[in-house]
Order: sequence, then structure tokens, then C-alpha cells
Amino acid sequence: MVIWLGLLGFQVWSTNVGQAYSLTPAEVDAAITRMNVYPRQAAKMGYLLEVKREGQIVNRIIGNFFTAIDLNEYFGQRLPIVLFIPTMIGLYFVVWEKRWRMMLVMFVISIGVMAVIGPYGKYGPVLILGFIWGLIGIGLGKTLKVI
Amino acid sequence: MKKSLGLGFILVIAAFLYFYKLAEIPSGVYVDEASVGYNAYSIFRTGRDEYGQLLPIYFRLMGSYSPGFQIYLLAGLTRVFGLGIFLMRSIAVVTMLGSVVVFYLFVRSLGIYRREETYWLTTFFYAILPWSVFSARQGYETTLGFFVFSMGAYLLFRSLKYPKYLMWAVAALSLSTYISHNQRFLAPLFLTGFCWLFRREVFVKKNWGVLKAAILVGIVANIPNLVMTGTRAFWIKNSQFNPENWRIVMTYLSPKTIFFSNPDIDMQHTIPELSLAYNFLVVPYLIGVFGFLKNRKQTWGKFLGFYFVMAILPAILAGQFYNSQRPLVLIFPLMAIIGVGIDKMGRQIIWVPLTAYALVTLWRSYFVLFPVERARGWNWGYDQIAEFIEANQEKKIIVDGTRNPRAYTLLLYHLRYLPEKYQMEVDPYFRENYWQAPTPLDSYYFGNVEVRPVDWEKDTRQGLLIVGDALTISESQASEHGLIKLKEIVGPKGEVFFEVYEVAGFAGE
Repeated sequence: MVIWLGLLGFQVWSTNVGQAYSLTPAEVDAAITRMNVYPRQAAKMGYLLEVKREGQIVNRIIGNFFTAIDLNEYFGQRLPIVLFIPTMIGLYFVVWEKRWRMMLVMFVISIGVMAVIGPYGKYGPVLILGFIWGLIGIGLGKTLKVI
Repeated sequence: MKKSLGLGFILVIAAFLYFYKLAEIPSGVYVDEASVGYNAYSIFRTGRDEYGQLLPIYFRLMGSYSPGFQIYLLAGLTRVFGLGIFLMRSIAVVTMLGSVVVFYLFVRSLGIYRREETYWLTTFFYAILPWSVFSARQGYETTLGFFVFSMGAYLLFRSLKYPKYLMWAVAALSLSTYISHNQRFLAPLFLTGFCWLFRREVFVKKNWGVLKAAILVGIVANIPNLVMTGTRAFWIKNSQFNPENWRIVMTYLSPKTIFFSNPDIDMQHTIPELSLAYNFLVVPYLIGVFGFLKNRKQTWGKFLGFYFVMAILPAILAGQFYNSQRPLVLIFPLMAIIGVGIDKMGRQIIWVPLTAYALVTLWRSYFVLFPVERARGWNWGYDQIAEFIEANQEKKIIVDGTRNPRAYTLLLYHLRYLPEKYQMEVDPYFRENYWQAPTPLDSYYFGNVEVRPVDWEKDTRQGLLIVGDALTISESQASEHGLIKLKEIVGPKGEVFFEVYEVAGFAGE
């Protein structure tokens, strides 16, 4: 719990949250171009879907969420792909065994936090990586037990 | 009655989404569509393909040696209805609608959902999935191949309970190998893997009669394939297989790829701001995966897991880049697993606004943004070039093929160029070495048209017309070579897609 809180604090501290929600001039331009593509009778819809700030924030949060759970962010780039298997085994037991319930809750909260603060951490997604190492440990432990 | 009505309701909505503005969206004609369409036209008129080959099993097309079932089917339909983009894409619409029925029967036969409404909700989401809508509206063989394969997979699963289905499953899987490249690799792998995984259920004494019949069907149905194994054409796609490609597995499996952004580098395969499935389906998917893993030892769990792995295995091994068309058969096990999640989430009112959200995002991405933003990927404007060629038949025309050497097939299609004439003009080398997979050309000639890169040394004859994209001829090149701009073909966003120049030459030249 303490380690998790530490990692959580470190992740928030090392992330440029503003970057996750700022729009470049090119993005603003693209949004306006898109809005103009809508048929005349759906112009208001075009504004709501393409330009309205609230809609863009929701889109960013959804994008951040998928980046947080993107396997390519972790396996192949930061960790060897073969570690995906023990990670999944570990996750399976974390989901189904009651004693890991707290870890599962913390994992879900971490993904939620990453979705809100965005993926622009100076040291990468250390918060999620911490969990992945934990899952790898559980997965390997369970596998060795079976062997 | 209630079940038929429910399925009918889903099919009506799906039919609307699949047929609405079918000839206009996608905006343009993709080279694969044009190639299939033109060869169907050629078969219908002459019984031969564009190279003059009599009724081939695999069509050389642009060097792909694609299985020819769809071309023959389209040739038959062209005889009745005439060649057109609506007709070409209608085959995919009808087969995708058929796949909705097969999917419903498939999840019913799995019998894994506790709630009746889960079957409807899952089938409904299957029908309106961006991946389904996209696949239903394309005029080449991928969708038909997927449909026949999925039917085979469904019958194979049914054969565990009713062994007589095995024969029909083998027939469907064999047929699928004559429709699409994917299935040529997938079908034998799938059948072999199934027989091994369920060997205790399949190879039992009471099944011997059915097994013998299934083997006979398999052998007879594959005689044409076996005959072709002696040609290079049969093995044409094998060069793409590379075990090193397994590293891309994370891209295929990542929820980001399936539910958020499609990383396919081919613009033609992607829809703006939508991936293969709606983003909110990631929640039932993740829940479903764990529900499925818990039941992995049950027959349905074993079959779904096997189906899932088999669906992406050839796709992973067949290319170093992600391709969203190759794993199309994944849609069945994927949606069945999402259904497990939907079922576990229970009877929730949340599905009503989520359905509305799905339809709005589909409308926005596919019906509003896609025709504009992917117009270039779908070769928008070649119909106008064809019109220009038709109006200038007395002049020599060069169409710059530097960035799109396969454009010749688009022009043949749009011009409805007489196949009997083109077969006489095509380089005889290709006709004589049809099955030996010669490398595709970068120059093509027919009638008054040449599709090739512009040669600034030779292409200076007065009156010559040059058609190219915005990069073909710069302003300084135009003035240096004495070119007069005759026409611009403007894309849906107002940007110049093509320019037509005439070589005016210089005074005294």
C-alpha cells in the first residue's frame, strides 16, 4: 500500500498533466476542418463532436485510458514480450483469488489515474510497470508451484 | 416467432447500415475492387481474364494470384445486372448479413449466456461493429471468404454434438480456400488443429462413417488446389511468412488496437477515429476474457480459445506490419467473448445510451469523415480521369503511375475497356508465363493510354496529354517543358488530387 502510494505520487509528480489536454494549432485547425465536413443540417452536431472543449477532454481521457492498457507500451518496448505470459497468469489469479482483491482495486485505480493525468510521465508509466512486475512475480510463482 | 422477429429487426438495421449510399461510400474504387470487377467483366465477356487466361482457378490480377470464386460469382451477376460498384459491393453486404445470422446461431450453439437478451445484444453489436460495417461495404473477396469460413467453423463446432455436420464443415472450409488468400492458409490449419484438440470427441468408432465421408469431401473439394501446388502461383504468399513477425503479436492483441485506434499503415483499411470495435466494448471484453479463462476447460471455452488463436496466427506470421483485414475471422470469437462480459454485467439500462453512442460515432466516423478523409486511399477521382480519356480518344495520354503503378486497373475498370481488346494489347510475356509469377510491371499500355512514370527526355511531343497528381509536375517544370494546365480534379476537401497538362511546346520547336 505504501509502495503503491509512493509510486502514485511519483507518477503524478513526474507527469506533465497540461500536455495531456493541450491542443496544438494543427489539432485546432484539423478540428475546425472536420467540423466543416458535416452536412448543413448536422452542423451543430459537428460542432459538438469536433470542436467543443468538453468533447475533446473526454476523447483525451479515453485515449489516455487506452494508452495505459496498451500492451505495446510495456511488452516489446520496456519488457521482453515473453514476460506477457506470466503477467497474464498473474492477472488471472489476481482477478479470481480473493486475497489479491486489494491489489486488483489498486490496479484499477492506477489505470483510472493514468487515464486522467495522461501518458506524459518523465520516467514512463512507472505506476503501471510496478504492477506488471508484481503480476509477473505472482504468475511465475504460480507456474513454479505447478511445476 | 419471437426469435425470428428479433433477428429480423437486427438484420433490418444492419441492412440499412450496409446498403446506405453503398456506391458513394467508400468514396472511390479501391484497386482490389477494380481488379476483381474488371476481371469479372472480362470473364463474363470472353471467358478469359485480363491476360487472356481461360477460366483460371487463381487470378494473376496484379501478381497476387487470388482465388477466383468471387470473380466468377461477380461475372455471373454482371451478366444479369451489368457491371457497377453497387453490385460489386452488394456481394459483401449480403454475405455480411448472412454472417449476422451465422453469428447468432454460433453463440446460440455455444449456449454460454445466462440471459436471453445477451444473445440479442451481442448479435446486435456484432452487426453494427465498425469492423462489420467496413467489411460489408467493400467489393473484393475478403468478406465472402470470411463468411464461408465462419460458417465452416460454426458447423465444425456443431459437429461435436451432431457428427453429420463434419462433412458440411469440411465442404465449407474447402470452399473458403477458393475465395480468399487468408482462408487458403487458415482453413487447413483450423481443421487440423480442431481434429487434434477434439480428437477424443471426433475420432470415435460411431463417427467412422461420417469421418470417411468428410475425408472424401475434403479430397474431392481440394483437387483443384492440389493440382495448383506445382505452380509458383500457389505458394505466392509464402514468401511473406516469417517467424520473426511474431513480435507484432502485442499489436494484434492490444485492447488499444481493437477498441481505440487501428494502426494499419494502409489508409484504405482505416476509419477516422474508430478502430475495429466501439471503445466501450473494452469493458465487457476484459470481463469476458476472465469469464472465458475460468471456463477454458469446457468444450466451448476450448473451442473459443482455439478459434481466437487460430484467427490471428496466420495474420501475425503473414506480415511485419499490422493488417486489419487479415484477422477478420477474429470477429466471431471476439464478439462471443464480449458477449460473456455483457452477460456478466447483467441487465443494465446503460446499454441504451451506449447503443445510441455507438450509432452516433459510426455515423460520424464512417458516413461523415471517412468519405472525405480516406478519399485518396480509395482512389477518388480516377472515374473523372477515365471520363477525360474517353473524351480525348484521338490524343496520346500519359497517366503518371510513379506513386500508383496499379492505377491502370482503375482506368480499365472505369473505362469499361473492352477485355477482348486489352487481352490483345497486354504484354504476351505475362500470358505465356501466367503461373510463374513474373514481377508486376511499372508501365502499362492500352488504347491511347500509357500508365507509367513521366520521362522528361521523351515526353515532349506537342499535343501529348499528361495526367498526374499534385507532385507529378511542379510549376517550374510546367514552364520549363512548355506545359499548359487543362484541368484540375479536386478532392472532396477541395484539395487538388490530379492535374491534366498538355504539352504545348515552344515556338519554333
